[in-house]
Amino acid sequence: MTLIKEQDYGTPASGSDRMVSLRIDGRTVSAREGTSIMRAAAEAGISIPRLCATDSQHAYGSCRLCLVQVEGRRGTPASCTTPVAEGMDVLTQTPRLAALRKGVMELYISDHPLDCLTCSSNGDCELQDMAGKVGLREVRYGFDGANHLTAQKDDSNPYFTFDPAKCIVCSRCVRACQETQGTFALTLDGRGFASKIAAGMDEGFLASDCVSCGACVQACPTATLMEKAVIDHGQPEHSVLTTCAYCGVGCSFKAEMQGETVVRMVPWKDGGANEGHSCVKGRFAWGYATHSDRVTSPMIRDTIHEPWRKVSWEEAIGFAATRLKAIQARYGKNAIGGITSSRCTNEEVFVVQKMIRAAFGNNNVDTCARVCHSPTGYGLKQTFGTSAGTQDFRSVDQSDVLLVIGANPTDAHPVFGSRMKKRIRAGAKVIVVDPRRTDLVESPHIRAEHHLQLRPGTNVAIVNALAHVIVTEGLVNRAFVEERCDLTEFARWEAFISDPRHSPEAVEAITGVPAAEVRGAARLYATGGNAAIYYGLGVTEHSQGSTMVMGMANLAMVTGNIGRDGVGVNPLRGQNNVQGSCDMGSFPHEFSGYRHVSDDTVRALFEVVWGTALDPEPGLRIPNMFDASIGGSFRGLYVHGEDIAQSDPNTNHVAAALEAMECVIVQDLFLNETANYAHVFLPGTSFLEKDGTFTNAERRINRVRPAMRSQTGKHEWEVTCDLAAAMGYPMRYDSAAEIMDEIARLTPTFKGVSFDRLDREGSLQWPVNDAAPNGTPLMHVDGFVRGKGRFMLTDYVATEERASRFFPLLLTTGRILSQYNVGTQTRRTGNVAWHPEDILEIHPHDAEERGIRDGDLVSLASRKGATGLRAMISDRMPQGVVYTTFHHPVTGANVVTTENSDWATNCPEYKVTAVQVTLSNQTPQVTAAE
Amino acid sequence: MDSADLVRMANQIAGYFRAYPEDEAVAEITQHIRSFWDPRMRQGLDALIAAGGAELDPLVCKAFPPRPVSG
Repeated sequence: MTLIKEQDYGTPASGSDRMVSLRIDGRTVSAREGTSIMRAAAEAGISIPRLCATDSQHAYGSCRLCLVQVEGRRGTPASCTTPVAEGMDVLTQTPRLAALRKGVMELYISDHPLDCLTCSSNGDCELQDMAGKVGLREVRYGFDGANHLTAQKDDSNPYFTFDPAKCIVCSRCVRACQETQGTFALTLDGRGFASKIAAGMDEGFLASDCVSCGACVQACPTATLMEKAVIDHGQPEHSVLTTCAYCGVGCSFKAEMQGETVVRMVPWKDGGANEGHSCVKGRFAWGYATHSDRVTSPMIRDTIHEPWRKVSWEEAIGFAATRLKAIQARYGKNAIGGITSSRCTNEEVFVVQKMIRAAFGNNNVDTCARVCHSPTGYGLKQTFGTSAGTQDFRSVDQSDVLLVIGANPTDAHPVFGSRMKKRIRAGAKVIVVDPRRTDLVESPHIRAEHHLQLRPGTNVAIVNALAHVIVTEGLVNRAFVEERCDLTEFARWEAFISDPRHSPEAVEAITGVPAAEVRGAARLYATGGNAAIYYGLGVTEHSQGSTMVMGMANLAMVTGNIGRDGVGVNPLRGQNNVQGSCDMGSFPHEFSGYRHVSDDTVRALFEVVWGTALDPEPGLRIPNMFDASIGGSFRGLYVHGEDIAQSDPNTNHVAAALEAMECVIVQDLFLNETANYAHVFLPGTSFLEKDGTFTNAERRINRVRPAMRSQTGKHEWEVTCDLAAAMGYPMRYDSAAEIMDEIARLTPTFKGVSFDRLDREGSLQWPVNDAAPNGTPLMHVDGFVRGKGRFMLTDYVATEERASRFFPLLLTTGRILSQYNVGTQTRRTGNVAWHPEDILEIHPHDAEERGIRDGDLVSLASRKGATGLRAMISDRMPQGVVYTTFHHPVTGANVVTTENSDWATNCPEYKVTAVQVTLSNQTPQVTAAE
Repeated sequence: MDSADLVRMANQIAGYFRAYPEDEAVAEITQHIRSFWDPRMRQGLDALIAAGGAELDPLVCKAFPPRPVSG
């Protein structure tokens, strides 16, 4: 094992197809038109000294080390800013250039600490490398002149330090913040000798608007910006390529290691999803994996009121199996079930659902996608024929219009959010449909063309109004519809959507969005070039979540914005493997590959391979499991890597359901909130210990490789196999690769996937089969998966959850950049520096009416319960709407959310809860209304 | 299963398909509930309909007409 060092070509690749021929140091080389001399040389294996250039950023031309001589041209141009030209003859090494470079280095080093041996960058410092390359042997200016060596170090950020004494003011950090991340938090302050890098208004990194993505640290050529872990541990000695376990972007990382200790996580340049970028979670918040709270031994207890007892794996598995079998003997085989985890690998998920179907003998398996993107599965399958986003992330680079609905990608999918912002800065127009003024509405160098600031719960009215404008103003792409869509369904839909009740003017009173704004947005989406829809849980977590997904699919079809680069309908998936957990057959009605359990042919295929009869009836979904528990017909639950007691709505109802069960098995890293109701705790493994695959929001199957051995002594899939065997169904694999082989054998969209292939090719996007042996970055290119695209009728039906005199505000919930979902992981990292508690955002007018000041403790009450938290007055919120997150169990935001759910899938309506907010003198606590 | 929950869920399904012609809506409601509801939930719905289905959307009742009592 070695440390992976990607080659840095100095400047970005040119997108040109035209090639030019030139000579560099006497060698004839060929390069794409527009390539810099520096990059052309690097591609030919010729290294030109440089400090301010790196290939993730545009050329800057400031360090003057990369000077070259060009035959027939005067002077010594910078090779980073000079493009290649046909017939050009370049020299990169001459006595004149050597003298110039040495002189430049002398100036740099005259104002730089000479502490290389004790410097944290020793062995990984470009300044050190360049001093070596140019043969620096003396500094004629001495070291006693004016300098910056006493400049104060900023160690406010939990993960990295900024030491201005070591800064060479190359501006790579500033440009990384601008070009790569798009936050514009860093600046080059002052002039001449007084020039310095400043975060925000020079208030320090933590207090500034820096989002701690790490791009600046990665770009820094010296020890100025340095990971604290490297300062503590020293340089890593080998790398393990793996995939982040946070959001659905699925960034590839190099886990840089010393033995089995992670020194740092560095985003991998060749990662298909992230192309070398990262966010604060993936880059830095991995310390939870070895946190002292972690439980690594199995535990059992007879009742949930007793203390836990550490036992052997054998005893824990035996205890669990005995209890589950006893429940089945008493209440019937359908009285138990399980929940698969979207944080776990495809292989782990596959064996859990297999255990439930084959060993438990029923289809009571569900997954956390139930509470996030299940409407995506239903809606896209009805309209397009398959349950997945249509594009790869790269596609956004070809978009002219971005329609972002109910998503806040700069917080929840930060690496893709940065990519979107980059495209917007390059000229793409953006339409945001969201009750909140998110960063895509307004932030540095970003301003949405239209912000449709609708009332929570009125998405479908808006999407219908957009479609109404397109149809009634003659903006339908008739050629696309006639060629690609079911014309009978289209004709019916066209008549439906043309009805004046769907016009922007007619729905304005419902949505609160001015009709003219809706008309403008519809015209832009239909006529602005390549238009792409990106959406999140602000679409799905509604009583009409599935209707809205179908409404968006209608929009894409009617304008022909599907089936090529730059367009499409794209769910931004919440968890790292939520796409994969759905693909793997985690829903109670579907086997892997989204095939219904009642399909005799499909079921027979599984029955042959699994060697047992399978139930043809759909099983219980998560909310149904809770209801059935309270009703008495469901008594045992295996919860794999989910914290349903914190994440699911109406916490009191969930707690009552869990309390009623006779056996709850939790498999997790930590004793989470759900474990309070568990009888068996099976320790899980972190992503740094797993061997398997995750599938991200663009259907990209990425390898997850173990950086360290399992802290529990077992792989999670081994534990599942042990439990299945103890239940009477022997299930054995020798490796995770063997599980993937079975997945490929049973799942047509995964037919061509194997670990060997993924290891060779990096990643693959499903479907990978005979028709698409190299995978499918773009879906529905020549036709829809279902054949003809199906327009669905999408009448707006108001949610039953209404504001009232007693609960006059609407609460909507979401996520913040630094924390992840229920916070199990991120609360155990330095990320608490940014978000130590959940906050209620409230409009200034609503706050003033209630006498609430910024930072006051308030009570948040709904018909279901009440909790307390601190208020933040924010004009990002519209009047009448409040917002909070659910990252902290002490707040228990889901105490107030209701049992309302999507009509098709039971996905909870987290985004609309009628509440009242009042001043409180209580510290945050949870109270029950039931 | 809690009957209020079953009524709410079934009526929501009917609420979506109401946009379609009635015969199509009834067929889609039947198909949807058969595809996604566990048998005990369907049995609960049958029981509600057999009891008159007063709180159920008429489309739901049409989708699951009471079964003739055997024997």
